[in-house]
This record gives sequence, structure tokens and C-alpha cells, in this order.
Amino acid sequence: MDYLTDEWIGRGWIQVSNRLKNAVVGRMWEIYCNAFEHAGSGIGVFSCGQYFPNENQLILSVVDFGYGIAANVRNFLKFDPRANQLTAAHCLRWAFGPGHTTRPNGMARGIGLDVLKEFIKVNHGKLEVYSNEGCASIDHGNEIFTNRESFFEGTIFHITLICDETRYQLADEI
Amino acid sequence: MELKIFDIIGKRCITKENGQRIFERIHPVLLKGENVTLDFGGVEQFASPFFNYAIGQLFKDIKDEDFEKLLSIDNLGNDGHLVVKRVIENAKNYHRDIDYKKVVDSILQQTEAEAG
Repeated sequence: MDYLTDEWIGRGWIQVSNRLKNAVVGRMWEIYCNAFEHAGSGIGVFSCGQYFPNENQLILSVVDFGYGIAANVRNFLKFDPRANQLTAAHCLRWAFGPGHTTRPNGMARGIGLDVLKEFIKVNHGKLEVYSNEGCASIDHGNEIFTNRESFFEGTIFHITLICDETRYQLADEI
Repeated sequence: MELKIFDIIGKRCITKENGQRIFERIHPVLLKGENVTLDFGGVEQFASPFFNYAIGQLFKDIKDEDFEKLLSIDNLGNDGHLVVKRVIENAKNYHRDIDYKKVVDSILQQTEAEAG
């Protein structure tokens, strides 16, 4: 996270305030945590990004080659025989719900994706998630969960952020 | 008790392990009915795993009203507030026993609602 904070986002090539930079790093940790804890990706988790100065947009991607969100949700719910009927889209929607986790450990958790989603909306950015045969597309006004024809064994988080501080106002500032 | 979190954890409050360190210091104090202040001055980065462990699990055996009365959280900043608010809401609504049937019911009902 030091690298992301100080040597990547913070090295002076992106027009972003410290406040926004730190918020981005916090949200990226939510994604990394999920990937390392849930994905079961034998070859690890990969991350890359690109800054588009003309649009003042930062795009960050995180990829794992693990089970995938729908597979994890269906496996978690396997004590109900209907679990295998659940579509990838609906498993993704459930995964984004507050308090929903496929790794219960006796304590309240499962809000990382919800926190990420809130940040994306406040930033007026965009989040796309591709996992198994499901796809989520979330922005300020919409949350769309769909099923795709193709299958990806793993999960991709693709985040588009606006680096304009005036677009980043939390609810209690408005 | 007042804890300056920056002095104990540093500028990054994101991991569950560091959250657990804070929990272990404040939990016994709160159980005794004594006040605790967590000062996040100087902390710059926040994530839910830290707060799930630091404060979310307090709700297991500390009543909501005691949590409000005894625990103060200062100098969080807006980003920290966003995370903490979600953690507290989630912890208050947490039910230990998972009703798998109910979860699947809710997912399938949403499917029907959208199809209708």
C-alpha cells in the first residue's frame, strides 16, 4: 500500500488531492482483501492502472484467477438445494449487499463492496466487475447486474475514478 | 482512556490485525463501564476490516446505548466517517446464525420482482 500511495498515485503524475488519494487507497485495500481472502487464486492477485490526463480520470484494475464470486456464493448457500439455480447476476448483487459474506467468522463483516460502491457513487466514477458469467456495472445513478454469454474463471474489478476534488463530496458535505 | 491511534497503528487503519489490537485494549475498559476516546488525528487511510475488528465486534456484548454513551471517536475525517458509519450499521444488524433458506428466498424473490 506504500507503493500505491507514494510511488504510484502519489508520484506527482496524477492531479489528485491527498484526501482523494487516501480514499482511493483505502478502497483498493477493500478489493485486495476480498481477493486474497475469498478468491482462492493460486497464482495471486494482479493490479494495474492508467491515468488519462485529458479526462482527469484514473482507471485501476484488480484481477484474480480464483473461483469467482458466483461460484463462491453458490457454494456458501449449498445447504439450500436451490443454490445452483442462482444466476451469476443475482449472486453478484447479493455479494454487494451490506453484511453479506461467504466467509462468516462469528462477527459482523461483509461491507467492503458496499463501502466501495458508495465511494464510486460519491466520486461519480464507475465500477465494473466481471466474474464467472456475471457482470456488474455501478455508477452514480445505476446498479446493473447481468449475465453474460462468456465465462471467466476469476474476478476482474475495473474502476474508473474522477480525479476532480469538486466531484468528490461526501453526503455530509453536501 | 484515550488512545491516539496514529501513535499505536500509524497513518493506515486498514488491516483486521491492527483493528484487533485496538479492540483488545478498549473492550475490557468499555465492559467496566468506563469511557474510551479513540483519536484518529493523523490517520489518513481507512478500510472496513480494521473497523470491523476494532469496533464492530464490540456490539457482541456491549449494548447499543452503552456504545453511544461510552465510546467517542474523534478526528476521523469524512472518509473515515463513511467507513465507520457503515461498520456500525452493519454490526447493529448482525445476526450470528445464518438462515441459508432465507438468503436464497430473498435472492429468488428479487428475481421474481424484476421479472414481473
